[in-house]
Amino acid sequence: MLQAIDLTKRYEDGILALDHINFEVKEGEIFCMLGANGAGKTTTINLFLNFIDPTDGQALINGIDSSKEPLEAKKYVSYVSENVMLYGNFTARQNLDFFAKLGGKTDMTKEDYYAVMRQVGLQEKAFEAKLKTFSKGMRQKLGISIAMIKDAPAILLDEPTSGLDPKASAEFQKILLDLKEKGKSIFMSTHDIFRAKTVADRVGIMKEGRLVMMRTREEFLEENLEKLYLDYMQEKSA
Amino acid sequence: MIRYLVRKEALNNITNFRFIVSGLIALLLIILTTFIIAEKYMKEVDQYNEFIAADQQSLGDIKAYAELQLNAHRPPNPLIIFDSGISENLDNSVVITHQSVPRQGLEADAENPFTRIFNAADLVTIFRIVFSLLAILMVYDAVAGEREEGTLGAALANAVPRDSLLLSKFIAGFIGILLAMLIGLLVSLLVLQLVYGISFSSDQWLRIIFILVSSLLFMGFFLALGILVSSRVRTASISLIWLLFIWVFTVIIQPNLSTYVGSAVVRIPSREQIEGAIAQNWDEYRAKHQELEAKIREEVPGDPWHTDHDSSWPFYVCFDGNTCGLLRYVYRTQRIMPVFISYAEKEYQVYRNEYEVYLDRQLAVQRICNYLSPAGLFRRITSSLAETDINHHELYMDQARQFRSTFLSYLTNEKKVFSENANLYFTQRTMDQIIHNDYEERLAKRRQGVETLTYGRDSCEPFDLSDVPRFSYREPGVAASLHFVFLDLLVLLVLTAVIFYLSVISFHRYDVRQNS
Repeated sequence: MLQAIDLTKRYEDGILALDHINFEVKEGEIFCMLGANGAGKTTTINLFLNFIDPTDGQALINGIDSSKEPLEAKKYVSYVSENVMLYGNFTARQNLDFFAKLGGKTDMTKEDYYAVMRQVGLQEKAFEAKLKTFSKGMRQKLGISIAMIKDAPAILLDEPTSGLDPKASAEFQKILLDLKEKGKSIFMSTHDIFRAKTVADRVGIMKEGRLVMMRTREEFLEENLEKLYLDYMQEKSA
Repeated sequence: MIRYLVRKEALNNITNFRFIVSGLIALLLIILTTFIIAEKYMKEVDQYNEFIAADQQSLGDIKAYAELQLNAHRPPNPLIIFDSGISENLDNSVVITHQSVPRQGLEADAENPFTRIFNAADLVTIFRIVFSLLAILMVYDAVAGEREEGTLGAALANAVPRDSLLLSKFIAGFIGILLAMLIGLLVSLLVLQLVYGISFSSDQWLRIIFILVSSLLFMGFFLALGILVSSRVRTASISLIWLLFIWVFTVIIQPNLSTYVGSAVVRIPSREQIEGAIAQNWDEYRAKHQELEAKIREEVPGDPWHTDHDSSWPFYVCFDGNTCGLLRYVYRTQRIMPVFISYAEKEYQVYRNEYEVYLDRQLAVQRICNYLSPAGLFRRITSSLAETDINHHELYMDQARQFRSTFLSYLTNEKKVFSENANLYFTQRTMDQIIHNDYEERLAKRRQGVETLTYGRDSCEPFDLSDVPRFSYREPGVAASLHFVFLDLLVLLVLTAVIFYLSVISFHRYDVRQNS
């Protein structure tokens, strides 16, 4: 569903942010991309969303090259950023309604929106509250509900649990697994090795724009993911 | 798709604190301005009615055609409430007489009276200044601000075409401005109707609609400009600073710059030069006058005697006198007055060549400069629609000059005042009474204490002037007013479209990432 083929990005200032990255996220699979800040995780997501153009290679969503047919490609993907920023003057439901319509869901009812917000664990009183009153955790939950209501086959998550308290992180984990059960292909960039270990079917480690390691669930459980990660990071500092 | 985007943007705009506050300030200004200008208009109406009554009264007391002069009044225009234009600087009443051709008076230093830098406050001025600022406030963060907040990325993570997103911001801004303008306009019209009882003709309603449309077009320019600047910079604050700078230049400096450029490129001759040229015309006339006068004195020798005599040339009247005095006046009326009239017309030609031609050139230069100034274009368009611009004033002056020709024809051809009925120009004595005159006998009797001089002004009956032509200002239709500014409208539309197109190009290359 999500496929990076020799995906490369060199910025105008000459910095090589991604260097011939290759990976694939299949249906019903959670792929966690680990890496330090600046390793290229967010750049990868930006290339899938066509926020930037690749220097080389392809970012395919459902087989569609997102740099060539971005509008078609984006029909098959949802996105949750590190800091879900929505319209502060609108209520949670109004935000959900707007983004649902952008995602092509034009026949949703108020009850449908409430049901999704309940599903992600938002409190009832927050449904009609203005978003500017929301905490980060609440905004992240709403971001997830936006991704859920779009019901796209692929989901891109950019450090979605960053800044969330343990309870919210645990709830988030449950939601991810539910989405996986529904057959969604999930690409999650994260620093959170513990969370990755819990939910990922595969993990990759990025370093200085390169995908230096990729392991299946069986492999990383066997090899101790924390140690693997630290070894690769130390290699960097060395 | 665009429907949802527009709905979201419009809702976001109208629930925005800055929109609500600035909209309320604009509304307050509109109400205040409506009261101020409506008062002024009502005074103009009173004054106009007084003028008409006074004209009627004076027409009932004309006893010699030399006394007959008419006025051409332009009725007060309620559209000054929308755009007072240059109406404040110009007279809306001109005297119509056979002895001069109506023209705009010379300014103290013969400067261009049509290009005052600061216009009086009116609704269009509020639209131009306050609403254009409001338009900027609505879109200065349209792209850069949403990028900073992260909502731009959230929206574009969906299958949303960038040009649709931009167009929705433009349309939503337009809706917000339209809403604010309609509320302001509605309140203003209610005040005019309910407080002052001012109503508009169907033609004027059409003009008001066109003024609203032009105002929206002008706001469209600022919305497009705001979106363009916002899609060229990375932060909303920088966008706002740039836009305010451009706004000051576009709305305040640029239109006045056109005035200065016009004045600098085309110099109007000084008042002394113009008056010198006019004086030369009358010097020529005086030479001819003396020649003709000498012939008349030769032809009618003697010692002239008059009563009820006012010889302030050329408004001479003498209701009674001896043959010599009256006959000389008959000949003057028949032979000198037509020459005088032709020189009065020549005077206007001199004025036209020495002043108006330069003024027209200066205005043409200003107009060309204005094509680069959206605020200048907007001012021209609305003042034309409100009939308060130079073109409409010229139309009025042309009508006044045409009316003078009609009046002259009335005197010359219908009443034959400068030919066989020349006596009626200054007296009611018949030609027979003038030639077979007993004035000196009557004068002698008077000296003996017998009152016999009964042919003075008081003993004359006023003329029946029911057939005298009356001036009636023919308002040009909306089509004529639009014709004057068609090119300006087109240029403003093209400017707006070009700016919006540039913003679309710019946005297609815009990096929407929040942390870039």
